[in-house]
Amino acid sequence: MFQNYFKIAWRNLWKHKTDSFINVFGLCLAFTSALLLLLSVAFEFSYDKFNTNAPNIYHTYFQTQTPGGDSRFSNAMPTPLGPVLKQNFPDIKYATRLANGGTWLQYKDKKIEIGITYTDADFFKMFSFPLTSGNTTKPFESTTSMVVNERSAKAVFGEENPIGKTVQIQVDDHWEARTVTALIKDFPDNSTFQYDFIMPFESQSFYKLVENEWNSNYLDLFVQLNPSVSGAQFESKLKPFMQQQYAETIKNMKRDGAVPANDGSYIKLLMQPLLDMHTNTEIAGGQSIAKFYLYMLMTIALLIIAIACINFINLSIGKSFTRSKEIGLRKTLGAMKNQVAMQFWAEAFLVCLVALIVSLIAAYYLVPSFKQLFALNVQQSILKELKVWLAIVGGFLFITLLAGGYPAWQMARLNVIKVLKGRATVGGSNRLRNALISFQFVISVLLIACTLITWQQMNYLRTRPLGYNTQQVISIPITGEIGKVQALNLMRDKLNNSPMVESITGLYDNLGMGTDNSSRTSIRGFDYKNRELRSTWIGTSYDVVKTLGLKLVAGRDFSPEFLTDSSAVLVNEAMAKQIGEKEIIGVKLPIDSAKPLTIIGVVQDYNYKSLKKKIEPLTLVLDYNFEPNYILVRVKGDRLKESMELMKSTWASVSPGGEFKGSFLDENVNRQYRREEKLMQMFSIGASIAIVLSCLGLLAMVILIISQRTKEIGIRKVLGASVLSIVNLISKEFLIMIFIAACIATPIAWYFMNKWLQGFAYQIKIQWFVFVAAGLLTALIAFVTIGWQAVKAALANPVMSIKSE
Amino acid sequence: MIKITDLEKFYRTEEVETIALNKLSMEVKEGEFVAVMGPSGCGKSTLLNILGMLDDADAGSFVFNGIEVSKFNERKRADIRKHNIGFVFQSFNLIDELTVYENVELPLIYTGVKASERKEKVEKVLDKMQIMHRRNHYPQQLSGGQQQRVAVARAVVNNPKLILADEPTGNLDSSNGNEVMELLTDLNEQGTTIIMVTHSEHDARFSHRIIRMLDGQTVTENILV
Ligand SMILES: Nc1ncnc2c1ncn2[C@@H]1O[C@H](COP(=O)(O)OP(=O)(O)OP(=O)(O)O)[C@@H](O)[C@H]1O
Ligand SMILES: [Mg+2]
Repeated sequence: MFQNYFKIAWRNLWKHKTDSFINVFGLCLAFTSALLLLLSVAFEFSYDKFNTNAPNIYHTYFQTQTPGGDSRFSNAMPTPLGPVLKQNFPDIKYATRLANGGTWLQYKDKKIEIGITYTDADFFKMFSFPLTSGNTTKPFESTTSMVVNERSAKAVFGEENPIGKTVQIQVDDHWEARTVTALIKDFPDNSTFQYDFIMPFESQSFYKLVENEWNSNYLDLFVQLNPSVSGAQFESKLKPFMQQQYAETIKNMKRDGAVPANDGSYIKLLMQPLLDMHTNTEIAGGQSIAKFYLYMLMTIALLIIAIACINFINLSIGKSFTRSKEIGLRKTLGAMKNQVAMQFWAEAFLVCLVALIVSLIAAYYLVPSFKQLFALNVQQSILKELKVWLAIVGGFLFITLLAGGYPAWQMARLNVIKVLKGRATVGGSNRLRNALISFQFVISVLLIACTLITWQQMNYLRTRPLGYNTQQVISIPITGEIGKVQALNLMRDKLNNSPMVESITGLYDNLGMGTDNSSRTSIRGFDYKNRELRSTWIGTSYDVVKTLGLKLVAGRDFSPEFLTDSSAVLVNEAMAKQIGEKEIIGVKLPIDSAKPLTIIGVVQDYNYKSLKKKIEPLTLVLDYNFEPNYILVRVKGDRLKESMELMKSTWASVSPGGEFKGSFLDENVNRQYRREEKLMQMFSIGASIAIVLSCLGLLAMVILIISQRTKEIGIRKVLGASVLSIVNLISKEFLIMIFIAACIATPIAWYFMNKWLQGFAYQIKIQWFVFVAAGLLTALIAFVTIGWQAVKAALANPVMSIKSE
Repeated sequence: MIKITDLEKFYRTEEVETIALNKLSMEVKEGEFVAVMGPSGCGKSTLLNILGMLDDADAGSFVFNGIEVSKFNERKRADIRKHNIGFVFQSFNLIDELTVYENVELPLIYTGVKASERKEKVEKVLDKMQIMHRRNHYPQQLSGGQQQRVAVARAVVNNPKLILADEPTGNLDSSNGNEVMELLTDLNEQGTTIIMVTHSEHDARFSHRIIRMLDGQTVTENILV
């Protein structure tokens, strides 16, 4: 029986090759893009789930109140907190501190730069990262122990057995021995933690200095609670502890006028579930990905599938008109309602199946380029997981049932007598069809509007003046073994007399996002005249104002001619305002009572961070504790390419082992908005696919409608209708639908884009004409699609169509 | 009013060439009622379509109201057509989606008549055809005779000088057929020129003159009045 259904279905599909092709092609396009999007989202949401203890593991963070009434979040913890908590709270089963560092490693004649992670021993018990060889029960035998992942072990030791091998690592200015005690399995791709060399937390060179220091926050803390306690319960248990431990801090906060949180607290220690880490951008910076972005991807995927399904439903129902004779005949010959339905459903199923198979293959091969395009982490291997397959099969059955089943059922219900008289239509009126088509247009207009708005915002971000020279300044991350200050001095010596170079300075924090993909911020708070002042702190060097092209509001630039500049600072206007002195030059900031810092100049506010953030108080210092990590060179004129070449060759002679990662600041600035750029790309690709699919459906629909209305068109022409009025007759309905769609899409797009724009301190205003443009563009594309069919129909000789009786 | 000379029309389909009209000449004066008869496939409908400017001839001349129209383009022909000619077909050719009223109104819309004037004209003609009470019905809700009355109403609503009717009674029984024929006679008496294709000698007798065709040519003419 089933075989028979499919045999006939196949024959029918083959007979209507063009229709089948439109259907299969549309579905393939939709399935492939939706699969890629959904697989990526699934992958991002799968982060850290493989940890069997994940539901009980939390990442701690502070919430502190400001005088402005806002809460600040920070995941930087002081050194003693972890051990103290574990000692005092039996709810904590395990706890580990985590900090990262980098240094050089030497083994035999190999010397490589490595990243080190310092953890407590509990790390290996909390997380599901299996140790594969060596001392798997107690990998941290002593402070000189080292755990290495399999891949890095291979890179260092080759085919040798790494267990028990001793290597040298650089600690500050000397070398120390470390012994490999265990190997750890390579971290899964969907793990937030990706570490190569793991060492005991206590083995950090400065550990003894900070062991009991509560005021220096720099590490990440993870705790595993007993399953009987929830994160929220534990947070409330922590309140008395925090009150006591941070009594001094709270007192100062009160003095500075901090507004307490709703529950009256000034500082709270909160628990962020491990499973939230990857999708929460508020607390953990780094490589996490916003939920908003993921939901957006998911929504676009579902919308694309919806459009394809609508095409399918509309075409099937539309065609039933031409196939109603067949249905009627089948029924008079004794077919039951559900047998007829099965027949049509089998056809739908076959079409969807072909599309799915093609899409799966396409998706598999497109994963790598797609991943790159959208800056996602998805791996081809996700298509080999059983769970994913179950989801795909389930989704597939659902779609075929909906898209194939509904029209099949409608057709099966046709009244036989009406059918044979040639008077039956499916679905009574065209209301369903029009509603579905309108819905497709809503999606198209929505995505076009979103594309336009993100594009406008991106354009605004790129072109808004930042208050410093971005075009002529090259930023060079200091790499290699050379000392940072030494590197800067050497560069100065070599380039000072070059006709291409205007001036040189150094910076602790990069401006924008460099090719080294790293960014950092240091914020310092200190008491000034019984008030706490907070400021971003950036170490720099001489000529910073000149090199960056900053505008001095008062005072002067740092200069080697003033020996006292080692205790001098420059502040921005926001900081000057915060200090609130009439005569700002010469004000002494009591950071360190032995050596106060003197303000020698005020620079006009400039956007030293991305335009997502407002300009906050900023202090530029020559402090040797903030050694330059970047050398900034302002070049003369516009021979930018040659200048870059010069930097590259000079850098090679300054730091022979160090890789050259220089880039112009404007590139760095743009790189900060990569995420936003991806979002824009995504919207535009989503919009294009939505439009292509909608138009494909529209085209098929119009051809169908025209074929059903040829006689009417003929009669109208005989009665004197002009070509224009016929085109109008056919397209008017669709244009009205687009108008309604634009009206529906506008508030939705406005709402979501407004929400997105809230993430930027500097944002465009959404303008009404964006929506008009999106509507018009959709109408234009649709009209072109309909138009040529309509014109063809209108130009046809009416004699033929009238005669067809 | 109409003068055609040596009119030719060919149909080419897959190597077979059919001569539908073969050097056909004829003349129709204003106010005449002419019936065209002949066996199936002799070219009657083809002739009517050309006279109605729905189709163009391959050769020959066609003078309408003293103007040579055979070389006119589609736009110009359509323009003459909608102001001068009304059609009645065997299969009524009403638009199923429109009501009786709307069907009749259509030619007025296409000739750009004002809405108020349209209402008056449509109602007048519906009255005359005695289908006023059915004005809001759809074609499918009417009998064949009623449908053809609507079609005639639609053909005359613009006061055309010429009505072309292709087997107007072909799908009707004799009493409905007679009603339609009487309508046409009335119209003719009020001055409208009528050319009617028919297979029925009975219907043909309502006309003034019968043109008999064979293989795309006129063979005889019978003058009845
Ligand atoms: N579109 C066409 N393509 C090819 N041949 C055609 C076409 N239309 C008409 N013919 C041919 O032209 C000839 C004249 O056809 P026409 O329709 O004028 O006949 P008719 O006299 O109206 O016949 P009937 O009385 O059956 O309506 C016929 O041989 C017909 O087969
Ligand atoms: Mg005929």
